[in-house]
Amino acid sequence: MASNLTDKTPDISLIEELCLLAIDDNGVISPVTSDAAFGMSIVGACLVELCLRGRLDAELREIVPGAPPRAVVWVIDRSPVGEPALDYVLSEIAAADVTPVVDWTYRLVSAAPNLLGMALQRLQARGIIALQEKLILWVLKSRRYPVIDGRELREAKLRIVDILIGNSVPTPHDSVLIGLAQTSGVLAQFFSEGELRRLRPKIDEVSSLDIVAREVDWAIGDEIRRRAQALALAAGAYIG
Amino acid sequence: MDISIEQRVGVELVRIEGKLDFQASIEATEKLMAALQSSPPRATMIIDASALSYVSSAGLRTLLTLAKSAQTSGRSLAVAAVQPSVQQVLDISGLTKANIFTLHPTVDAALQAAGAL
Repeated sequence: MASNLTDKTPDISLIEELCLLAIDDNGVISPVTSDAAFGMSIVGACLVELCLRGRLDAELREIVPGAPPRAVVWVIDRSPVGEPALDYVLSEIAAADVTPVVDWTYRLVSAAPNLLGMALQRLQARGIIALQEKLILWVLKSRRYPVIDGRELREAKLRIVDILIGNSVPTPHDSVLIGLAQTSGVLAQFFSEGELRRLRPKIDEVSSLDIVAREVDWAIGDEIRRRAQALALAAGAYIG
Repeated sequence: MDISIEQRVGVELVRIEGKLDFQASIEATEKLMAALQSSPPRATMIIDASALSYVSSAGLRTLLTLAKSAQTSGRSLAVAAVQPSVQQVLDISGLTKANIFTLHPTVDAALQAAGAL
């Protein structure tokens, strides 16, 4: 029988949990958080969390005739959830017509630093992390976010490990968390390269069992491919 | 959406008719979780999806939540006779490949696999 560790959905949103997982043992936010992949994952976390909270729903729809269907989201309840990052995304979607998840991922990625900031502020307000600022060389401000008692972080990691190494069926929350943590590079914070390689089939099997999360994954992959192509073109032009 | 539940030996046969959107998934999750938890140990819940015409992301979460609950309680979940449009959603979401529940082409095949036919 599966562990009951993974039975309950935690009292912390996907965006908060993703941000928490991106903080290392010294309270330093991982460099991956400056990547586009992390920014898009943050947006994805907000979109899925809003679905989980009953503010959005999503379905597959044929947008381009003959092409594979894409996931689209729409608002089913405009009332705020009381989390600034989520309420920001909800208000943006509420102000627009139904649009594909991929479009929302690209559209909102520029807001990702603000969404990250809002999530960190909320974690701080809830007493989960602290904020330590210091000046380096009297000029540059450095910020650390040491985790206060670590319970939420430990539980998140244990749930992830239990799902990937054990046999537990993930909850919808955890399935998406694993997917976003993988795609954003956060999972590499606490699994070695070798471990991730070995776990890859399991990660692929249980992660992002959700059409919104899958579209975000696709958007991230597409963005990475486009950047690689642009880089190759630029390199070719340079050598040219 | 309509849900009907029939108890057979070792099996909870659930027929879902209509659309499993957000509103319907709230009712479905409640009813089906209750049916699962009150079923005999090691029972199989078979969802007859032949009349299930639509599943949104909320409906997918109902299936995943049921599968999770089945595993935790030592029971099993099977889904049978899925319409092509719903099959596409299951495939694209990754639920088909995840082997989190068993898919059968017909209800009879599911009943047979559960030893109820």
